[in-house]
Amino acid sequence: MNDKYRYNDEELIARFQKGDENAYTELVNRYRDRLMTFVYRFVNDMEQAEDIVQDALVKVFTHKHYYKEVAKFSTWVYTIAGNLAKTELRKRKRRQTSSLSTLGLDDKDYELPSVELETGDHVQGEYTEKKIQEAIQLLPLHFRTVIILRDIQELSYEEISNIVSVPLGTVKSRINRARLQLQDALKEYK
Amino acid sequence: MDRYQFEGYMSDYIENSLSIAKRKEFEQFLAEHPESKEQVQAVRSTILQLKTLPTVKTSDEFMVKLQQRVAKQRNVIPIQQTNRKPLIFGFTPIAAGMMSLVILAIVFVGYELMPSGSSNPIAIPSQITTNSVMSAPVNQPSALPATMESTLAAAQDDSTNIDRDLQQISPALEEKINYVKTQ
Repeated sequence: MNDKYRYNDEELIARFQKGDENAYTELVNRYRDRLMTFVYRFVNDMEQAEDIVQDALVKVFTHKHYYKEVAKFSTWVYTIAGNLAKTELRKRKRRQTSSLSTLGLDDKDYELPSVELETGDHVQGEYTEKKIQEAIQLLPLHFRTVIILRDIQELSYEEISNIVSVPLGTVKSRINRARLQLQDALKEYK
Repeated sequence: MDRYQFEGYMSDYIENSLSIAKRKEFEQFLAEHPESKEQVQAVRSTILQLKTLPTVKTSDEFMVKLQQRVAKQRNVIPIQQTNRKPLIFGFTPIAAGMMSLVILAIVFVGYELMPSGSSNPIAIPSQITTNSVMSAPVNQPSALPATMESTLAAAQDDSTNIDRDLQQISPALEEKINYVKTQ
């Protein structure tokens, strides 16, 4: 077995709770990019996303004893990051209240992450990604959260239900509605 | 199946989690409604696009920044702890002081309310004993024999009789104890 995966996430957090800070570093390395993808797709701003991910991981450090092994570690850390991201969006909304009514999607500068696509068609890939990112931002927050967790992060319905604290049936319904809305928004780009 | 049910089942159909019966019903609906079939294809394609979106990576300075913030927190936590005021039996000094004052006030008020001239706080007030309902009416003849009445009167007159009687009894008791010991 690879040394990197000798311990699962729950074992690592348990070790960290007992004082092993290497376990914390290992958890950070496992989750930093996953959380970054989740938060960036949610808030659509690279700098803010990175700050939120840092906040979430600092919270894991300072509130390590709040984690109880009744839930998966991933559920706990996604919940923290999701709540911080929602708080950030609310703050942003308050800041922009005066100009929000006149601000359209076309006025917003989208900061796309510098990612290297493995496919040859780099420009087309970036264009598609930009359009998808725009379409995601059009979704209401409760739809946006579940669609990112399901179709981008590929989490199970059960885990999403635990993260967003709503019943499984509601999660399924929201994902269904979000997919239909997203497909509708992307229709013109195809 | 109506349009509402169709939309409700769409995700389950795409993720192959419909029961066989429901799946057949859904496919029947698709066969009858070509525009719905197109919509299913479009949603399937959208999901695929979402799944193939690239992972967004953190910057190169991410770990350095995080370590700095963690180090800052590590320094903050002990300072917060040392700044906390010491507790007295789990209370802050102010709360403990206030509680002590209240307790002292209760004790003082209790002492002041205690009946004066009596060393026994649970003694029955003399007014109650003199006007007791248990005492015999003055004008009625006593039901007790004359010898008992005189004994009681003597006992009431001088309470020290009890001590004298006890002194008289004690030599007799000592004698009996000595007898038992010798047996």
